[in-house]
Amino acid sequence: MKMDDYRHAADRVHIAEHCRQEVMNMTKNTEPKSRTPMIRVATGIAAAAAVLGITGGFGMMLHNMKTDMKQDPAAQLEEQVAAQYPEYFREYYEARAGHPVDFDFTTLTGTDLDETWEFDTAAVHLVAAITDGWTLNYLYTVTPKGEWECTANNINLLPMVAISADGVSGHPNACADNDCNSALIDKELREDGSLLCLGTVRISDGLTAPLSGEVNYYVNCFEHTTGNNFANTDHPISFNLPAEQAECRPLANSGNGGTFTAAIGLDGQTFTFTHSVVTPLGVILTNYDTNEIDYTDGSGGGSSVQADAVTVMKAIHGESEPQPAEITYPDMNSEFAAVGDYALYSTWQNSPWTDASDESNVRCTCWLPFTEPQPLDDVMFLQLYTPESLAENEIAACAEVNMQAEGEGKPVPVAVTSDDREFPLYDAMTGGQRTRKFSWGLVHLDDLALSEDGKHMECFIRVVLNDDIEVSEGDTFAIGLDTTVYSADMEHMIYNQFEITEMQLSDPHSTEYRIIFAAPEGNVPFMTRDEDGGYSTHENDDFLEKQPLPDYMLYELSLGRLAVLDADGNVKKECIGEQENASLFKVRLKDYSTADDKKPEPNDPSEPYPTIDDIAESLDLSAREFEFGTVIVDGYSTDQDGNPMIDIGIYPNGAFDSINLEDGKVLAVRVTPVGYDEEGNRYEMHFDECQQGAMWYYTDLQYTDGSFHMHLGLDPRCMKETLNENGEYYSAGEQSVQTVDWRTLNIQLYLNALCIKNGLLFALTPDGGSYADENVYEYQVKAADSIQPWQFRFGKAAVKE
Amino acid sequence: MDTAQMAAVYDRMKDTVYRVALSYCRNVQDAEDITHDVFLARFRHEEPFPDDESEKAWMLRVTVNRCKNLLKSFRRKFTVPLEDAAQVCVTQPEHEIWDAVNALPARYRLVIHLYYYEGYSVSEIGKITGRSETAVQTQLYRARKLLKQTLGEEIEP
Repeated sequence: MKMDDYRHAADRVHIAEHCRQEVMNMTKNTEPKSRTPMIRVATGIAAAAAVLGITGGFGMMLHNMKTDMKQDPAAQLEEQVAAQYPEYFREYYEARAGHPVDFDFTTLTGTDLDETWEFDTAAVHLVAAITDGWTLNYLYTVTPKGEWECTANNINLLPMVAISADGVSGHPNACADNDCNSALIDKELREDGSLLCLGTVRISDGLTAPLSGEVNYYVNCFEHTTGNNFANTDHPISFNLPAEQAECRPLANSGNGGTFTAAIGLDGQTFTFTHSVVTPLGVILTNYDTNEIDYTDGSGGGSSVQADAVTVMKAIHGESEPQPAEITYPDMNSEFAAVGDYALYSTWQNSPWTDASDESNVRCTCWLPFTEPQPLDDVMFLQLYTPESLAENEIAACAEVNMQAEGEGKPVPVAVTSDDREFPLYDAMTGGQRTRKFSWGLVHLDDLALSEDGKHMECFIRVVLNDDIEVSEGDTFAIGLDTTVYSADMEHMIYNQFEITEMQLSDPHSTEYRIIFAAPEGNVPFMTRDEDGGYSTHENDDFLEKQPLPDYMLYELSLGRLAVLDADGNVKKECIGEQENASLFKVRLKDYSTADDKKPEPNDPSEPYPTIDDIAESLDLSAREFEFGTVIVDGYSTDQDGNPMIDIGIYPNGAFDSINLEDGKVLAVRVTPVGYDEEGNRYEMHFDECQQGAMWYYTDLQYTDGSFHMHLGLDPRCMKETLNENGEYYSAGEQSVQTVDWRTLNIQLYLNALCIKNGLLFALTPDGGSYADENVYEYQVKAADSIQPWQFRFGKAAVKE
Repeated sequence: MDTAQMAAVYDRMKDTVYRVALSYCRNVQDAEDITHDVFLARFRHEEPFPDDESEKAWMLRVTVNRCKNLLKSFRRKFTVPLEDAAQVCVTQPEHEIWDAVNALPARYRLVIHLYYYEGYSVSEIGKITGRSETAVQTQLYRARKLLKQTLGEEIEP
């Protein structure tokens, strides 16, 4: 199949002509309209005159907007319906991140606000608000007047804006007046001396049921320098909150899936969190327990706080890839309370003034804003870990938020223990399980896959260095990898040592390196288990050809070497200390619960068949009793072309003693192998196409020491699909000619008949019948009742029903 | 940017944007809406691009972001995909591979389209989609694997 066909089809995809006119019509307005204002603002926000009196500036965007409103009444009207909040917030986040932010803020519900307050010391302008469904966040500017200048010492004395809930009727989960105090989460001192501030208020209680529909809030502004003077807007603002919110999920213990509690120390108390909500704007931690919450007890207060040890966040995107640089929570040791930190909202079930000592009555939620909004489209996990755990080598103790609903892509973790070693299923591995932390940084397993031919492993490794390792210009950073691949039963092992190889820097300004290891094409020594449990090495050049990797599904990866090399390739610094365990990951690519690990039931066609080796080792599986004796599938070999040959032995019980084989008579057998592929298509051997003889071909048995033996060659050239699309047998000559590798099929082997040629003395069938086209039957030996065909496969491709 | 310039940009890029949007959304109406949005964003973008390729990459990145946002939006969940774009196929092989590609998960459809149709490199696709090169490589590998399973044979580039 050629991609040219796709290209040809795609070439014919053209957008409808009417779209051109629509777009060009929309461009006639210099400032395009927002299609759907998502928040209704009930304040009568078009108080343009008030806006025009503001001095100082929030940003160029706002300045331009004011100018336009002065100059053009039509534009003034336009601006009243054209939401500018996406650009306001983009400007804020870009200033905070220090680089362009590629996030579509129109995906969040927001509104433009336009409230102003004038104080002796400063002018305050509330600009816009945005919500992720759980928190309401708003931007405002504070512009000092006169000689007043912002310093680290007086910055907290400037006025601040608070948005408080209006005690929402009809919303049983809504906040009461004092229960939803807002907090100043960030202040950015701008070049013009003004402050750009981000305030936040939660919009739900206990994080159990975010509000929806229309919710009223009051906007207040506090001015500290003149004795907490207070001004409010005289009218509430009303928000239509989004109908869909991110889901609150319990924290899991990364590594084993157990529950986890994150702890934050605050003023001598420890706040524990059991659940989390992750939105594009940040992470919300809560100690909410759905079984315990009682809204009737609600009261409490909110505060913006700083703690000395909280959390560092790392989001794992898409195919479980970490992007720590973008979401790592910054500035954990900020000197400013509530500046660039996080917001902690506390709710006491009982009044804190009467029962403050009882920590169990304190519920708290903590909002940890992302440095910049994250789309979270493909985020599967988000890890939280505390600075304390950063000092540890193991990252496994961190909390993890499962970002995907169960049953919607995230598999239930499956870990299989083999030889006392646990090999989790690769697809079910959590971000924590794919991450290994060392004193010098992190190693992450980005991907592990088989090559397209199924014979070689490809391993995608990423290393993120911390400050302990310096890779100077001209130096290279190199890694060596040791891989051990075990067969499912641990009986075979392939060990491969990848030489130390230069890693590629992900970005010139990062400390993140990547590499892809691929198993070599050449032959690799393999090992087999000794009786004492050890392994012996075999130098078998053909081993990988005969036993390619799919049978070897347990992978154990270890760091061989990790070093900084100078320009001449000499080691400048060896990164792995002697005390460090270089083990990286243990992983399996296949879920045994649905394939090889499950004990096969040979007579159940819904089960994958046992391997030919399995049945050769077990008389129960390999032997069939007949009246003339026992027929055993002994195993298999290969012919000169590499095609498998089934070894079959017949051990007579005396039924043939009266036959004199010295007279040129030969005992012959006819067996029919039938193969089934994954889709249930049936294939049979037809010897007449490629071997001399009739359709009902008998194979001569070789007599050896009282038993008879044969090798049934499974020549793919003889393979025919025998059933048509309707499930009917093709008539002679109509068979679909296909060449199918026997090693990919489930095979059923039927014993059809046994005869003594040179006279055709007798014939038998397993069901006791006979064939009319056999001319002479001296006698028949009935087969035992309930004889089943042998069922097996060659081990490389388990067929799932 | 005056009207003539806008028209020129539209005529040059309309199908490129639309094809990516359609590939991702599998819905003509959504793809048209997204194309509208992308061009409005382009016309609002005042900074000049150094060349046409930069402009194209920028617009495709905006397209991808718009597509992602649409697919997770409330509206999308109540929209029945039209999936009527298969009429562009003429031959049986075209039908087969078109259907197979469109049966892939959205992220795989996207990388297949950008890689095989637009001819972008893995690195360039990473920049457009906001994914790492490794992720793009993995997605391409898995997309090819799924196509092979569906079509029963390797796809030839």
